[in-house]
Amino acid sequence: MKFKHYLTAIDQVAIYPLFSLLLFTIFFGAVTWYVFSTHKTVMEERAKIPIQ
Amino acid sequence: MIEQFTYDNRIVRNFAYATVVWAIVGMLVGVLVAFQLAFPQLNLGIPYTSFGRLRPLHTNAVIFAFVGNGIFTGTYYMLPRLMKTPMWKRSLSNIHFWGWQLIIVFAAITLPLGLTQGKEYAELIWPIDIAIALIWVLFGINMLGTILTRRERHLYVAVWFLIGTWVTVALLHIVNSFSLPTSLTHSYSWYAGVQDALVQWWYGHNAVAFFLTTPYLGLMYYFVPKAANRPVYSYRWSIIHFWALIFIYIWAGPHHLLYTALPDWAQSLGVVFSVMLILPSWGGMLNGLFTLRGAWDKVKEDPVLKMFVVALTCYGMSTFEGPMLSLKNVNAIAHYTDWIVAHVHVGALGWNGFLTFGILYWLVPRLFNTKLYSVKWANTHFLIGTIGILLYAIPLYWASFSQALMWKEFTEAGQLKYQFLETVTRIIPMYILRSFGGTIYLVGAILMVVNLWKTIKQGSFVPEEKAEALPLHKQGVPATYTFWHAAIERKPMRMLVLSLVVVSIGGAVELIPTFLIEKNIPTISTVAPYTPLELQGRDIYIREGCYTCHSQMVRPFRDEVARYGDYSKSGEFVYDHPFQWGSKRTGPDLARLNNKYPNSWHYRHMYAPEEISQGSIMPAYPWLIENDLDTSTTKAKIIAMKTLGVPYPVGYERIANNDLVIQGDEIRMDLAQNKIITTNTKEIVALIAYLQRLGADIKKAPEVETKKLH
Repeated sequence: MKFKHYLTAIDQVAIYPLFSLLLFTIFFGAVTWYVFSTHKTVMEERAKIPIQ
Repeated sequence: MIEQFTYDNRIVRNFAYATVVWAIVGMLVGVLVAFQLAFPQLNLGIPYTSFGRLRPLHTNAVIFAFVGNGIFTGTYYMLPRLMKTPMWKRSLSNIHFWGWQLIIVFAAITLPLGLTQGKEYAELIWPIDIAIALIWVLFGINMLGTILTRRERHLYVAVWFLIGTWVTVALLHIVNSFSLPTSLTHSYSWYAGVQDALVQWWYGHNAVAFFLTTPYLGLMYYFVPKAANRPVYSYRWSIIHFWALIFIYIWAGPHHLLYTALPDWAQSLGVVFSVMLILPSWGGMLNGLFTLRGAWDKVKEDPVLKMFVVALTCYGMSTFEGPMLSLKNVNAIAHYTDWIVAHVHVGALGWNGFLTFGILYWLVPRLFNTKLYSVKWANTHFLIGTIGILLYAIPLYWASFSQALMWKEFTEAGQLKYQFLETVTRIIPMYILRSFGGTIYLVGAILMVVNLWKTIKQGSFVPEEKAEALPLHKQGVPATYTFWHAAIERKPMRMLVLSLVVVSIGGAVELIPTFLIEKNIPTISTVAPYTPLELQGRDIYIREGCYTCHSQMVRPFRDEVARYGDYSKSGEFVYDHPFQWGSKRTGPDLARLNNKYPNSWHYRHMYAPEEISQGSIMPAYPWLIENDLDTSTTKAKIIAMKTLGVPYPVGYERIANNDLVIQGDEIRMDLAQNKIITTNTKEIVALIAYLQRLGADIKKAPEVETKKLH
């Protein structure tokens, strides 16, 4: 699988995939940051909701 | 100040019954169409039972009737319990239930009648489409009403999946269903050619994502912890899982159109995001499986947990296979073959089927306040169901590899080694095996029906379940709720809007460029609108579901160009409402059919395919020979096409039928020379006119767009 092939194919409209990738990365980063900065006990409490 | 309230179990029971009934119906039709591929006599020679009409019935029944009712069964059970409040409006629940069943019944009547829009998984005619949208909105209102009147501050992750599902399915269904009616039962897709294909597969792929996957992940996040009686392995993962999945899934549609006339950048975009999809998918699968950590002794005993384990494993398998299939070099082999059929069935039989069975085995005894009638039978069901899946999938993998390799094989002299038909007759034993696989799976499901029936008989129904909780405004707000995401989790409307934004970005970036930038679809000067007779013939082609077995899309491969002719260009399809590229080659591609065979060949072939091509598995279409073409529709169809931008001359709708008769006469006279006596307005004449038109325009084209052959 030559990944280079895709990059050259995308070239003219590079803005679309780049924009989307950037957007996703920012969002993904923010969610990850939130998830791991929340205290463990809070998460455990929430996970227990269905089996209460 | 604790409040008391009850959960309504009737609606859950009704949806559960509907799930079971439609499961059996959908699978029965599936088994029939599977056997039809090996034994074409099973098409019975009548229109209503021919493969092209029953295959959409099978897919629609399984997706929207079986899985759809499965989603609602789970939702109406878990949502009130997670929100600690009854469903918002009982009347809405009931309208939803009966409305949805009515839609299914109408689908089951219209599809065998040949009333279809001719777009895969979106075949249902426009009045039914509107009914689906209305019922879906009512369901959403009821769901949001429940969430807004809840007594539990935090929205558990299963509920996010439901919200994301609801908003995305609404968006997909409405955008893809845009069409212009010509009568109560017929309409033309708003989009044409490449755009139609892009919208359709953006829809088609996300129907898999947001109808078969995200709602079932919601059910998984509730019922797996519930059945194992332990919390989900990692709640952190589940949050990442949700956002990553809905964000990425929406982009992946174009992987259904690799090597087609779709612009390269859109294909590449689809590939990149499809490959990325494996991360959240596997994260979710592992989260589900790890929930059972330390409970494997239970898994050995409990058929419910066993079903869940196989469901999650199949989910993992098909979400590994999906990204792999979207790699261009794998796709070059897999596309148009039975690999795709095997892939979706691992998902449908394994993931959706087994998760539903597990939920039903867990749920029905609780609704009827009893124990499962026979755990042993359920274990047997688990065993034969698993064997059924394997016996279904493995022969099809085998068939697809051998057929794709045969398609691509050349002799030393540089000729194609195999005729198309040879590659079909070679894999028929595999078709028979997979039909048995499907039958065994169905037998397992019937065993479940009996088991559940006996369970219901021995128990007594609990129509209302009592519960109590503190109202939300009496509960203190924990100090930890300060993060931005926590604010979303408490605000369902914000969650809904953000989900919509997230999926809209993907949809918009994927669709807008093709709609706005004209140069993306270069026009070809010789491509002209269909004549009235060809247009009518095309509608017969769509009615009979020819696209379920024939593609109209030659990819730029050496073997395809050698077998069919010049590869397809995006400019060829500008008047195709809807596009008919197809997704499976049970029969050969038809994009370059023009003048390949004489009219008389088509006539005889449609009447009795097997007499013309020995070993052909194509159904016979004797009714096309008998039926008179309904020319009263021509005017409305031409007007609709003009509205959609097809350049017929001013006032052409008034004289269109004259041209239709003239062209019909030419074909009639040509047939007469070959000792075939017919009239100029039989359906077969229109169909022949259309088939002879396929690929005719491009032959006249002066300019040549060149692409490297693969």
